Amino acid sequence: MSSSARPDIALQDTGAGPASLEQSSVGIWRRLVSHRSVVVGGSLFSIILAAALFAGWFAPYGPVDTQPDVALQPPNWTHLMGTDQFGRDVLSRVIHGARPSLVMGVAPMLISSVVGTTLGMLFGYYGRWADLLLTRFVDIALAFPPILLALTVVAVLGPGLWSIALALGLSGIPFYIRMARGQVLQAKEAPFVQTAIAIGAGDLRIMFRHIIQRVMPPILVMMTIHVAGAILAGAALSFLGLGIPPPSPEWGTMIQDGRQFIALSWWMAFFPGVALALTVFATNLLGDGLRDVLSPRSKGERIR
Amino acid sequence: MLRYVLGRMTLTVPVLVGAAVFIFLLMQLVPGDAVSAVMAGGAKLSPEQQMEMREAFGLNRPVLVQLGDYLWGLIQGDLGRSTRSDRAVLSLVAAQIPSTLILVSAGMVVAIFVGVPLGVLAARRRNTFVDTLAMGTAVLGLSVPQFWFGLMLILLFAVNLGWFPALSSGGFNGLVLPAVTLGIAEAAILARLVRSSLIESLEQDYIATARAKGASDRRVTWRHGLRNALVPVVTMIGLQVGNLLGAAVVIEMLFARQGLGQLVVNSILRRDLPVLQGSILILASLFVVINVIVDILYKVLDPRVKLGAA
Repeated sequence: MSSSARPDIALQDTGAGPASLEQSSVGIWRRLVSHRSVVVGGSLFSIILAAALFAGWFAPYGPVDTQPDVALQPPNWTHLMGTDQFGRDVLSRVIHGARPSLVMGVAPMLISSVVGTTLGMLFGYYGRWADLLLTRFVDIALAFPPILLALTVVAVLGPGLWSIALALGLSGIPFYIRMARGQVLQAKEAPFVQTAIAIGAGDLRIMFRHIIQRVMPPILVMMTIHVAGAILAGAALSFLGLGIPPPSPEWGTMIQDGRQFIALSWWMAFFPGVALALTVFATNLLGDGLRDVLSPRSKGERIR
Repeated sequence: MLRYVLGRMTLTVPVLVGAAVFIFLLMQLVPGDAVSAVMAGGAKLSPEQQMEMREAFGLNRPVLVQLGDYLWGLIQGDLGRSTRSDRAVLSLVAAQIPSTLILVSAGMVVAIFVGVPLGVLAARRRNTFVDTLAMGTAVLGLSVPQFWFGLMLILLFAVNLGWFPALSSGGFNGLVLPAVTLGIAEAAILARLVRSSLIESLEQDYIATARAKGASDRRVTWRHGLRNALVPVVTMIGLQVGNLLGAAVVIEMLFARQGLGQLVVNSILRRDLPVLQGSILILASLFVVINVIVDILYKVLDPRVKLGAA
């Protein structure tokens, strides 16, 4: 009410929102690069990303080159991680396996975060019956453990890298809807949004200039943690035989292969698992650091 | 209390009906139907026989009619018949429920008995080396793929030491490795939550009062602090049951253990849609029911929770 009586104060108030956020975004960046988890996780992740992008340069052998005369060799100087049952170099396959793993982690995160956040924001902002309907739908979708939902979608789409990515992406959507919607409902009541409404800002401007600032920090944290979960879930689905068909290298499938030979040659399953764990560890560290810096009070939920 | 329990249970009905409709519609998207799946399995059917089979399964009726029929069947406890063995889906699924529930409960026991003490330890020694080590282990535990961790347990304890069987055929010995595999990642999540929650509750005024009255450090932590810290932990356990049920699918395949997971994966590989549909619906229902139980527990633990706000 005072804002309509004294527009100068109201303008100052709305001005303070974005300005302080700009200032703090420099602060956030500074805090991020000095955060231990972010530095360790970030460097580790960069190495894995490099392996994924330039696998051909790093790998000593081709990922599908078979040499039957050196099959099932334990780790040695020519084959640092040993060879598999067809004499393929495990190290080379591990390096080449980084790419599908990152795809299975990043693609689902992009699908779910874009679709889920947009839906959650729109429906949370406009409310009414559509919001009610969407909330019911989210309740129903969340009644399924995510990996089961993904499993069912893979059954619909047929096995393969992209169907796993799509399946994990679809099964993650309800989590983003719920998070974004909750943030919007809170932000709608916040003074700086009320002021923006009072001075007659349009819906789109309010949503994409003001409310989004409240929505993004927890969504960003969720995105990082989601990548970690999706990499694990994707590997698990591949392990079940629903992933990329052989002989293409993929860590989950390699572990399944190694399972058959576990009593004979442990290295076949051991090294892909270590690579998988390191990748997820790096992503988790990044996520933890991001959470510390962006939203210290949120508990964080894992999508798996 | 009874009213709350009944009210909470009524709320699950629309979710369960919704879940049934959702999974039914999803199954309609699967390319090919039961008949083409049988033919892919090697059976040679003439066009007339195919027609007959579609007639027998009711596959040539409108989708909405099939849906209504399916829901009507559900009410009567009829989940359809397997297109592979012609056995009733309900009996196939019911036979596997106990094995999966035993595995999930055992995994939860492992998670609680490892996760809670680890979290308490980290909270009591916070910002020391012990804390860093415990929480570092927890993040590592979250990052290790379960099926790989289980395989490494098989390598160590079954192949090398011979203490436990590599394949879980049943009995207590066969349960140990799968339960540890299943529980350890959830233990990591619990440990982190117990730590942050306990640190928060140890800063409350009543803790200072308890200390002032001369309660020992141990008593303050376990009796006074932990009780309050457990409220968010119980909520998290409820959410984790979904993870455990999902992860059990993979763990059952790893240890070749009987259960719903085997049923789900095999029905996908054999394109036995009624069995897939039924087992996923049952898994989702288990998840929903367990969450109701958790909500009720939550109420028991924290009397401040309003009865009406479900």
